[in-house]
Amino acid sequence: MTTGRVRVVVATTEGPAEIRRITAEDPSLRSVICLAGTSQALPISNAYDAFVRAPTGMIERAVGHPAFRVDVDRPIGDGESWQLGLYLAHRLKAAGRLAEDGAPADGVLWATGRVDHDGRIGSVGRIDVKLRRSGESWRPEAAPVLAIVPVADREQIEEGAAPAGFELLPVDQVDMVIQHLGLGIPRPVRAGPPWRFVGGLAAAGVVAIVLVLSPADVGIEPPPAVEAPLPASTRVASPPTAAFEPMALRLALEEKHAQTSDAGCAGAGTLAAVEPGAETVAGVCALRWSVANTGAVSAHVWLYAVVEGAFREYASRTRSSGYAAGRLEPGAVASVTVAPPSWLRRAATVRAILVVAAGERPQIDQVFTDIDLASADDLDRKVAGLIDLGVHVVDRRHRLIPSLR
Amino acid sequence: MSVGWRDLGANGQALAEAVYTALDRTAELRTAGGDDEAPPSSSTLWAWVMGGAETRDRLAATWRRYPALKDDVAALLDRAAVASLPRVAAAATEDAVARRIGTGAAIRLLPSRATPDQTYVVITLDDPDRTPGQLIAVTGDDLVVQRLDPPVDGTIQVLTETASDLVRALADAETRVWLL
Repeated sequence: MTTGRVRVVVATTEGPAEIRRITAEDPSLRSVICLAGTSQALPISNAYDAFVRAPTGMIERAVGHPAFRVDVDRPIGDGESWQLGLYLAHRLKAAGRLAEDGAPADGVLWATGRVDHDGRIGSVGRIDVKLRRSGESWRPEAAPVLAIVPVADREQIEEGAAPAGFELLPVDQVDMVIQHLGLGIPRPVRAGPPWRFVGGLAAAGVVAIVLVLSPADVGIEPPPAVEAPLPASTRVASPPTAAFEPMALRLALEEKHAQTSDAGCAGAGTLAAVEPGAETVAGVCALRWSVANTGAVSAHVWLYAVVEGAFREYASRTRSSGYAAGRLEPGAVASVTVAPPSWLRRAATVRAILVVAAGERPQIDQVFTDIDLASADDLDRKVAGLIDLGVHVVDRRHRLIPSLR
Repeated sequence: MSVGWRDLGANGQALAEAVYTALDRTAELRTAGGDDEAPPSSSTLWAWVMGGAETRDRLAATWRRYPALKDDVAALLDRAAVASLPRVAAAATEDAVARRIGTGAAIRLLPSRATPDQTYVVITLDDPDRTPGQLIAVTGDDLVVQRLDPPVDGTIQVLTETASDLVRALADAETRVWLL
């Protein structure tokens, strides 16, 4: 099942719930799960939203967007066993391989399992009941059906419980399934280039840097491949040919703390890698957003970061923003640095927008041409337009708390 | 000159309550005595607002007969509401209203990208600790009531049909909205 479109069903004790469609919604919305195209939001929608939205949620970290609507053809009740199926469906969707709206599928994925923050798959129980109900009420279009179950629950599956045509795959990490599906595992990246702060405020307009970087330019070693262990009983597909993989472009964030409260960002300071969106301590004078190409092929990236806030209204002749765009070779890193005005004492929100495509896209260049004049609402609209173009878009916000002196 | 409730002082508030009760009882007695010309009492109006679809039909019929009673209901809702959102200024909108801002809350209407004939109603509360249970919109002579789920981080999100009474009411600049 390393190529082709895959249909995903979430195993429930009432029968399998097919994921009919996943749609990226406006980033300001909370994610919902709806019943078959209706406006009936299922009660698990709040839990699903928490599972999506960073920093706690898994989906935004994996696919870079914080709000989705998922349509399923059958209600999914309480519990957390839907998490694995939804996670895999999002990864397939991001790779353009999710069979939606009844489109023909080359394979069927049947999944049940909890997924924790680190991608570990936890026990859910009642798998025998779910398998039996699937055998009674469901005739999959393609065989075999790959049934993903938690390793911890393997013992409770009785001999012969799985319906004919089911191939069981017990797993304890989502990466094992991701590799099995040929989606590729993002590889670890060494720390980026030495910090070089180009601080202060950019003049009106965007500071654009076109980057065509190689590993040597930025001091990044080609990352080693990661091989996750698979159960002996699993058929392992041969690795797919290297192809453009948007998920291999990883956005990272570092906060710079001034060495002393008087030094501002001009001094050496200290750097700390943080999770975008996480609560951090005060005293931050600048943020550096980086995008690293951990994949095997080059990609085209557009990275924009801007300090949002009311002060923009009365400091409109200055902009705290950064922009980088260009081709990014495997192993290379591009970054932009933004800092709020030195006189700002209140917390500010810094927004980063990363767009990834296989090659140059003049339409995307056009979106960024006047982005520094855009209001927050304008940015929302631009992000929506970029998503509609079908490219990989990451839209993140991080709260920066400056020195409180 | 109008005087605020808090400006009345203890004696003034007691007097106002007595006058209100007397007027309310008088209206109820007139109605009970078969006086067809008597408007319903405030208590009856409130019961109709909080009642089901049938009582809201009676309310609409009463408003058509006694338009001034709409202001009475508005005053009652103002007193009880967690948040109130006034009519949208005519100059502020050319088409359907997509955003309303009031005292205690703001409301946005966002069409679903997945299903364009459905719309998200997003209510953002100024005080995230408040938990309104229903939205009441008065549009023309009609009253629209929407049950609300508990807020999450100060936000309530309702997904509904774009053609629903709720969305039509919220998109109308003349509509007044309360969260109770």
